[in-house]
Amino acid sequence: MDDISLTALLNADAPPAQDMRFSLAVMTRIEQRQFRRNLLRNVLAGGTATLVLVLVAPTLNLVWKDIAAPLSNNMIIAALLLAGGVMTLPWIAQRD
Amino acid sequence: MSDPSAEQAWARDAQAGSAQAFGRLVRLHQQGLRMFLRRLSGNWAEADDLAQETFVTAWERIARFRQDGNFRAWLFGIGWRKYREGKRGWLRRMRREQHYNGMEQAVVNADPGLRLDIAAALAGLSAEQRAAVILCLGQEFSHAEAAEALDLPLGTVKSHVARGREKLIARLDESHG
Repeated sequence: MDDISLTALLNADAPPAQDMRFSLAVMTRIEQRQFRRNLLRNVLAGGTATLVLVLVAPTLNLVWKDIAAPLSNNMIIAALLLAGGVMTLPWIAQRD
Repeated sequence: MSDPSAEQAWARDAQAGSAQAFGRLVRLHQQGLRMFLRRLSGNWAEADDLAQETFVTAWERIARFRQDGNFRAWLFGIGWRKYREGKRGWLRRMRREQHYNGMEQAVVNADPGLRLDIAAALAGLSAEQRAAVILCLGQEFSHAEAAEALDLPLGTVKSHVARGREKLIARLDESHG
């Protein structure tokens, strides 16, 4: 037996050179892994933010009463929150 | 074999975050990597799963790939380490050994008229010998490339290939009378 026959035997029953199903499975696995990691990161970030808010809520309440008393109009508060949310959108899009 | 400069460019784009470029690298190397892992493990389904995991790990660690490096050797190196890690699991090892024991028995009992069974002959080699032979003789890796992928000294790879080749040929000739 020579090296050519050996090489042919080693490559017998090879998978196809173009296998879209396999490539798709790899990319799907990558996407799923990335999704799970992002989800975990967001859950952790959300949980941390909630915890921090709970801890600083009493202090925030005092500050809010002193500084934001003039903004007692609910519509103004809603508009400020909305503006803040819209401003963070490009950052979220860039991060993902 | 593809144009190496195109491959380098795809690797660079993948490092910059292009999933499309990485997809091209997957399409380019899937056949060779799957064949390497199939011959190494002897289990087609497990090898394809390992190959997918290898590509996922390559994507996650693409930033660590040196731009002047050999992408194929780097990728197959990840596959080789995954195979070795998987081999440490006792259940997998037991299954694989059972599989190979069956193969070895098949060689002993082989009818000379039967088709050559390369998988059974490969079972007689150590994992490192098997990997070196598959890469150098099957995938046309240079000894240096195989040494990089298997993280072995060049001399060891040369010796594995020479001895593995001899053993393979002897077993295959024996099974054919």
